[in-house]
Amino acid sequence: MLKKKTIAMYMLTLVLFLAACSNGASNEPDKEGAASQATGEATTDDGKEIELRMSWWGADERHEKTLKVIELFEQKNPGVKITGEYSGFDGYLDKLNTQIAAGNAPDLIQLGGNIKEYVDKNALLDLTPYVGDILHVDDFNGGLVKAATFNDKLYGVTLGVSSTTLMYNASMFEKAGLPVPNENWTYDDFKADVIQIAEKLGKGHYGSYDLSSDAASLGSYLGSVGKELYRDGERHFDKQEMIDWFSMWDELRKAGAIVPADVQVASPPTAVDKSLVVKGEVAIQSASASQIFGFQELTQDQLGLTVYPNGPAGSGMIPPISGQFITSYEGTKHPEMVAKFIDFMVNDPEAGVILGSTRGVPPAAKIRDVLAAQSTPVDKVLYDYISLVSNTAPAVDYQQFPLDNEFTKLLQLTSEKIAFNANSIESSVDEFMTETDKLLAKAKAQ
Amino acid sequence: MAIHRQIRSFFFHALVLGFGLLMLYPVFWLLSASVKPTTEIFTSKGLWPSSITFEHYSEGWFGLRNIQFGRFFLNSLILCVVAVIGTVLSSSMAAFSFARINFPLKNLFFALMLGTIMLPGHVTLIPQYIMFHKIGWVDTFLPLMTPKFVGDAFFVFLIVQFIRGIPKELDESAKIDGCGWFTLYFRIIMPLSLPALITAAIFTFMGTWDDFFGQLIYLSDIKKFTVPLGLRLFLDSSGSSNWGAVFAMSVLSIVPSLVIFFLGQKYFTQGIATTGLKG
Amino acid sequence: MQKYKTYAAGYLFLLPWFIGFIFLYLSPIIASLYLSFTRYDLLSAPQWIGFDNYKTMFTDDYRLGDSIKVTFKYVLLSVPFRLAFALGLAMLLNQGMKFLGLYRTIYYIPSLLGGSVAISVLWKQVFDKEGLYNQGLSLLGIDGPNWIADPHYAIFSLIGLSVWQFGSVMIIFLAGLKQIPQELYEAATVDGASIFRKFARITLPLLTPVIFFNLTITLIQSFQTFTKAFIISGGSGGPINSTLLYSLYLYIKGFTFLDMGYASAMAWLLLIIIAAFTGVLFLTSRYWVYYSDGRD
Repeated sequence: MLKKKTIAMYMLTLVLFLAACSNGASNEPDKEGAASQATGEATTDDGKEIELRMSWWGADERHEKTLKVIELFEQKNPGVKITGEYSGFDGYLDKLNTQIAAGNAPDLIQLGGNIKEYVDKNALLDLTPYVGDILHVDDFNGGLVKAATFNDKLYGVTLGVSSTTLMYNASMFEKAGLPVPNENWTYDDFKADVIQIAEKLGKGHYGSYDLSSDAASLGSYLGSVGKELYRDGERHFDKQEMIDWFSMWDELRKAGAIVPADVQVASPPTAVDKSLVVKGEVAIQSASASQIFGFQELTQDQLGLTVYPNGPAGSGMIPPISGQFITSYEGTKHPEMVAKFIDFMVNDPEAGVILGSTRGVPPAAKIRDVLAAQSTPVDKVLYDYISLVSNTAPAVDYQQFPLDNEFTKLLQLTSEKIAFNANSIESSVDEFMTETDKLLAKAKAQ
Repeated sequence: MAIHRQIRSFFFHALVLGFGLLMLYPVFWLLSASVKPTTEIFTSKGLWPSSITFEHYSEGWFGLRNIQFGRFFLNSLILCVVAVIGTVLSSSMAAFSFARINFPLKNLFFALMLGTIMLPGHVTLIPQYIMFHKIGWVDTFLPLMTPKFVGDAFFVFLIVQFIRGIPKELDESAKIDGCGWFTLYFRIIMPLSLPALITAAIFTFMGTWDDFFGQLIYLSDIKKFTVPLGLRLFLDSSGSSNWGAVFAMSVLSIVPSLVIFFLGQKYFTQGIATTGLKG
Repeated sequence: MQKYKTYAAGYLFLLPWFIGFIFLYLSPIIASLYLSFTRYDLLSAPQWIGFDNYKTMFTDDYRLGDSIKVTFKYVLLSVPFRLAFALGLAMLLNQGMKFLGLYRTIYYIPSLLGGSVAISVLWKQVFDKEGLYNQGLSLLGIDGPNWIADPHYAIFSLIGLSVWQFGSVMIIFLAGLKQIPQELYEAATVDGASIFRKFARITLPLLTPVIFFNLTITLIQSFQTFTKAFIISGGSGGPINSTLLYSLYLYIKGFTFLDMGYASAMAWLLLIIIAAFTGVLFLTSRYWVYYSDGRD
């Protein structure tokens, strides 16, 4: 008796839940739910109070500065309340993706180089309607606006200008008796420098990290030999360029001028806490220019920034300008207030002074001028570098490789196979080309 | 003779302690990093700092705007205490049922229960989040607390194994004395499974204390942040991090678990209480 | 009647779990099964693609093959070592001796650091080229490799980390040892049994339910190990996929490459693999696990 009943009950509950679940899993960014919740929260006091949520990642200093700007904005705009949802970088994107999947993302979202991914999936608000009226970007370098413009629509505003670049330990150059690199240096200069540094500073010291696994370095190299990583659905390089690229690094590795494969893996340059540039054991690495703050804090050596070397086709700096963006969730209920706040963050002089260069060099020239007066030595290194890049970068309209994350992983895997002698350059490159073409085909199919 | 034994005992203790200290090397490194000046944390090789500073501790504790690190400790403690109570209660009930009572479909249910821990959590995370979002529980402690009250397969299985180590004659004699199932569970089986319950309590405490991903996904308001989330506030792996504060607060964050463990472990000492299993 | 009362009691005690299973676990589990038949990038609605994900898994994903190999290597090596190490130290720390609580706590501390943000930095201190471990080896005149960074050895540093955090397994063994009636040992001592004989005839048989538990759970958990590999390889599973444990690859697919449909399909394959192993353990358990309650 009871047994049958239990089973019947179980089946009933199961059916009910399947119904509820298929609803939940179908995962239309649940507009209705989001809307009812948003209005329920946002418009109390006869619809006057507006509540916004803003998410960003960073460390304590950035949290402090961003919160101060939010407080300032709330003071100047009574009836608006902005709640910060901030954390470190670990898990930031996982949480954001989960929130978007549930239709529960914050109104304001800080994004980095992956902004295109979110634009492609229609997760971000088109800010174009507010430009000129509420949101002012005319003071910005054209490249900055372009970086967040897709299909002629603006999806984000740069909070801090940066650039993928080479960071060097100037103290090591000095110890080796070498002048620090300037913007005219070539790949031959680069090779000569790293070999000399490794020789002069002795065992355990290297001229450079192995940049063969770094997509930005590869992109720049391809540019310098007149090719391109990607444009309009196709790759614009061939097997030969890849063989040249990996052979160059292989020679340097065999000469002991760059870090051996195991050191590269154990102390990757991407992690500030592990980078050997900080320790004064490696002279050059690839980085985002604004990262120099984090690196410089941890060492007493002098760090500097320089452009990628030049090749026969000139400088291949790619992408010339990058940075962190403030964007808005497509499902926000208060697009105008969002635009107003974004404008405040980048154009208000008071806010600009508070934020400083916590996310890179501020995009608006008038705020840069104010800040330049009170800059620290590290600020100055970054500022000088960014203006150098802005002046010398070739006028190329940079396109990001689609499925960028997968491509980066593939390049890293190929590089490791060669570096650890697990596979010859020739066959590794063959595999790399096949897999790259598969990725391109997959990107087209989506 | 006595001297001989003392020497042997000395060597024994030296060995156990020495090996233990070796295993603790990373912990000493952590302690030392938490009092080193920032520029030395990653650049100096030895454990010994050139000068000792406690500013990382004060930065970590007081350095965040509008909130102190103590708040995160409080939140974590609340979460952990609730989790421990919920887990021990619900898991022991289910375990008692599986181990001592016969009913139809028991094996199926047990298999289903184990099945729930065989599917990687990463793929159920999103559907679960959507579910909790629909009932308005996101950014509250509920999605983190409620699951603790329904029994955890790991602990149910653990307690089942222990209950099955208790001779069944005990049940029979209790039945003859007129005990109901509840009395049997509460008065006889639970006290005899104490080591397993303490184990479950310690593990739940530590598991909840350390859980970063779940807490990150469900909690957004800084006032509800827990210790693992608080630690990450100093850590921007893509840019600049306040490493000193990370290490200093990491040191502090170990302390509660350590205390709980030290208090709990004495229940594992053989021979403290008679086991009462003369059955 | 009495029978139904017993059934009712059984279900009643099981009720909290049952409610939780239905309301908290079942729908996400079924949703993930559904998602495994879709292309789902998290940011837009899932699209039904039938068995495509499963087809790709078996025919066109060389990394999955690498990943499964690494995972089996990890499971087969770390589980026995971890259990043996934990059991040995539990026996050692179950003696009546001075400072016992202190020693146990010291040996448990590594497990406390498990989820700590600092663990990757710490582990590097031990297994780096100039780390603690190689310094020890150099005393013996051996020039050790870079354990975390060499594709041949990286998996061993991962196994090392797993063994190093043996504390939780040890605790369960300690609790199990505590449950063994002292009288048995006393009687055996009166009979003049040696320590070894006591271990073989009393400790080991009476500990089998706990050994069985630890074996099953460690196996299930090892197949799903994620955090350790994520932390040690910085999330990459490198060098050359040598630490690309199954769960890490699944995470990369789902959250980094935003292919949650494929990740869900992978999860169900893993479920089948784990269930097969667990099933075999349960089937064999009747031959070697001894329960005092007299039923098997």
